[in-house]
Amino acid sequence: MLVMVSLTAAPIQAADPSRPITSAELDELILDGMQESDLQPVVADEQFLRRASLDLIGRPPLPEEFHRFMESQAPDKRDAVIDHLLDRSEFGAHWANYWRDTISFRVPPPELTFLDYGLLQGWLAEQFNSNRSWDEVTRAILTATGKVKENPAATFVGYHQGNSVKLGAETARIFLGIQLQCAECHDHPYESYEREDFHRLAAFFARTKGELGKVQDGTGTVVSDRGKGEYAMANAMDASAKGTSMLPTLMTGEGLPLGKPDMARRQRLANLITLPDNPWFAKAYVNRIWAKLMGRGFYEPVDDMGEFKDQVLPHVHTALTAHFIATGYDVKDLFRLILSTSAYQRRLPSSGSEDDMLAAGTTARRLRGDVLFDSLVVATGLPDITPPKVAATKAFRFPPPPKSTRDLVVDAFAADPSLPEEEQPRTMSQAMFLMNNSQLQEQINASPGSGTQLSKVLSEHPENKTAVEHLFLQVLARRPTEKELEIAVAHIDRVGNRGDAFEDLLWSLINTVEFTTKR
Amino acid sequence: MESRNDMHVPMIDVGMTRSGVVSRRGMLKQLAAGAAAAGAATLGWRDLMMARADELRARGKSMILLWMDGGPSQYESFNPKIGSKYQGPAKAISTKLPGIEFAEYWPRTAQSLDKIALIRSMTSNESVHDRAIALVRTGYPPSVSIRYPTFGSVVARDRFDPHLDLPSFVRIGKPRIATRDVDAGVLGAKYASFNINHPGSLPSNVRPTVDEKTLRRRLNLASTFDGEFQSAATKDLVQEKRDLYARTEQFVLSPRLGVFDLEDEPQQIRDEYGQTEFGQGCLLARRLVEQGVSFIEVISTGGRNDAGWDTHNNGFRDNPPLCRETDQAYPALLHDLERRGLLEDTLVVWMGEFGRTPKIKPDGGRDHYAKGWLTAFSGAGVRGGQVIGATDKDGLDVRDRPVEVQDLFVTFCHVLGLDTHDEYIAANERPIKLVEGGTLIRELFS
Repeated sequence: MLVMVSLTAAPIQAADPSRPITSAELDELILDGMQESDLQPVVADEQFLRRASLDLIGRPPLPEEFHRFMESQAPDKRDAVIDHLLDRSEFGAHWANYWRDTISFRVPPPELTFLDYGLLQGWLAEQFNSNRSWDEVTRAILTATGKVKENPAATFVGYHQGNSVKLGAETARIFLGIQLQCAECHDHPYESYEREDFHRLAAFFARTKGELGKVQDGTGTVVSDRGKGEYAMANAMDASAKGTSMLPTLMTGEGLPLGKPDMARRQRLANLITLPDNPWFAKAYVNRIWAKLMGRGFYEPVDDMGEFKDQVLPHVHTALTAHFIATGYDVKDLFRLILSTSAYQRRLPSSGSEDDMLAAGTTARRLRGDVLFDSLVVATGLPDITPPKVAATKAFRFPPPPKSTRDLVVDAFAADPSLPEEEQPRTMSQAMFLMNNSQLQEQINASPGSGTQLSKVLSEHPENKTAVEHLFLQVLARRPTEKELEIAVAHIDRVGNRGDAFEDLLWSLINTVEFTTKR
Repeated sequence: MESRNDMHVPMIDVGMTRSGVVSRRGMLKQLAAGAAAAGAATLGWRDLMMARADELRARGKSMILLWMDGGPSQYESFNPKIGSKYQGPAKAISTKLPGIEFAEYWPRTAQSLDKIALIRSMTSNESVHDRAIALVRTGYPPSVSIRYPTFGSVVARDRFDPHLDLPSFVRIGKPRIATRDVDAGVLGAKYASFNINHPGSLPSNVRPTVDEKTLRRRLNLASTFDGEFQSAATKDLVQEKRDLYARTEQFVLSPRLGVFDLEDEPQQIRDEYGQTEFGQGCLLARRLVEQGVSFIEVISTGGRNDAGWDTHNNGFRDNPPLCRETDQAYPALLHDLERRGLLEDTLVVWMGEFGRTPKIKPDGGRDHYAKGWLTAFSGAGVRGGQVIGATDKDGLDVRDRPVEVQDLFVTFCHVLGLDTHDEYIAANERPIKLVEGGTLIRELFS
């Protein structure tokens, strides 16, 4: 059966859906049916800079970047800084982290292998930095073959060990934003997908082989063609009965006959998925990016855009999707478009606002592990230390790889990017890390000989007020308010010892809500 | 991933604190709806207590899982087959139970069989480590699509209380091979185990690096700044952070953290458990039970290599020390719990992921075998001094009363007062029952 997810007809559409839209047009669409006065005003420069920096390069601005931006009188300085951030290599690295996590969170850890995603991360960073289009990146990932070490794009297929069921489900979830795996055993309970839809998709991977290889970090994994075989859907009534061979077919009805080699199948799948008239591909990407930037997706969770799922601002989603297709899936352009809107630049809405209102502006998000680590580096000068590798011995054959400081933060603040913001875990380990971690606490040392960033700030700023101001810049990327300055100065007076008081201040600032939040 | 408490519908939800004290307010709140519906609004506090005494007792129970990582041999432990060609050099010794014999490496456990109900007829379909561990630690067959949680996390979720200053699920010792570990899975970090890699020392980041006065001064200052940050837009964020930090502060400054420090335990008691990682881990488990921790897992690997109980090679050499270490600690734990009146509220389970093959290699190694493996139950209403099920004279097959892994989980739930039909919600809105299938092992309680 052919199942189509209808793209909801938009009440307002940019004049020509094949033409890219402007940020102003996008704002107009968002405002449709709302009063501008219902919405929050646009944020001041310092808040915008922190927000845009966290979203584009995964860290807050440095004090010198802050000053440069604040001092600029250029009327288009926000657009200019967006362009500047998109040109930094940290842009690719940051979004590579996001996609690495999106993929790796659902890869079951294999026996005796500590999968390393560093190569995939590096490869993705290059693709994003060179602004390779999303359809090309997707085709590269889905059709990759050979050794992960030599072709990191093969990580997705390889680390799933060529498992057709898993690859079918994950391809649908990550690249099409739909959940088909429920249909593995029965027709989807809440959607119109049938069991066959899932198995026909999995059949594209029927001959995909992924062998982990001997290297314990997984980078020796090889993706190749199994050479024979078809995908059989098990008999739901009788597991011992012979299954049914499935034609590799996408839910749009297009596919391949049986008997084709692995590469022909995966190339066909990759092409079908990335065709401009594929109803999910562009929509899924746009939904994820919107969710990450604005705090809430058109659909939540972002990988579950089922036909009967709630959607907010459908006409905006439609227009953005059309725009993304019209630009040839231009990754950087989409960021530029969204970040330039007033919607992105609005102040946070009151908690408890209506869904549409929330979706029409930016809502707060907690920082993910990598971003938090990089924020700690800016705030305290935290070094990234990797302990020496423990060599395998005859007695202890499988020592886990050592954890760098970044790994420790990423582990404590690990969050599956596909889950909605409110389902991201908030744990005591996270609080304990920021409160007590010894590596971090070593940076909270004001004594002149310690060589810490804090000690340098204190020697460069003998005035307490300016030292406090500098600390706020470094930790929260903004100047303190009058009231905050008063609180800080009163604290310094009360404690008496300057060093002790500033250690308290730095500790307290990294343990505020604001530090761990994109707002 | 579960996130909302309202998805969690327990059979009863009485506010029992970790130290076993029932919070009256929690209980009354819970009872209000039910009591009104039953027209029993006139029942007094005492009546209500009486009415639910059984459930309350069940809710206060703890579980200690002694995990024999790698799969212990039944021939070299609690089901020797003297006279069979498959029995190695291990001789049999008599036990407290007439007619029941253990391998010679277990003299102390043999004399404690009156406190143990031994199951000799475990069966499963999984005889590869990662798959068997997934099954035996979660109660669900291995799955590539759902990461089922280990049972300790299921218990932690059931017993979650934001006001407690100790974790409800503690794991002591490290699994011998990290990639086979089974964690909180779809239940997420909130219900993950609190890991003590070496008994006697706390994990990093728990102990503050500054004195209590300084820490509180800093927390106050952070809270003042949070107050400044708070607005209509951020009040939920600030509240959430305050709750989390209040719990964390209570934990890291808790005088009860001393429970993890074994130094204040009398030398004689420490020696009773044996001066080994596993022995001291069992001692720590007892201390945690005393403090009301709900689920404790102590991992036995022998520590000399990462083979643990996985004695494919050199079984004749490696089994005696592995057994001796456990034979010291396991009965010591049972006696100590009993002496302190804790055994009646603590379920102690000894098991691994499977057993070993009848066929012996020349050096005494045995491969994996999932028929006729062993589990042992004590405490929490279990009638000790009995053997359930049997294998044939060579130990090739189960001859009597096969017990499956799901039966174990139904039984754990029964003892701990968890409703097996209770469901948690995994990603994709898919409800998962605590246990699927299985029947209670009634003999344990008869």
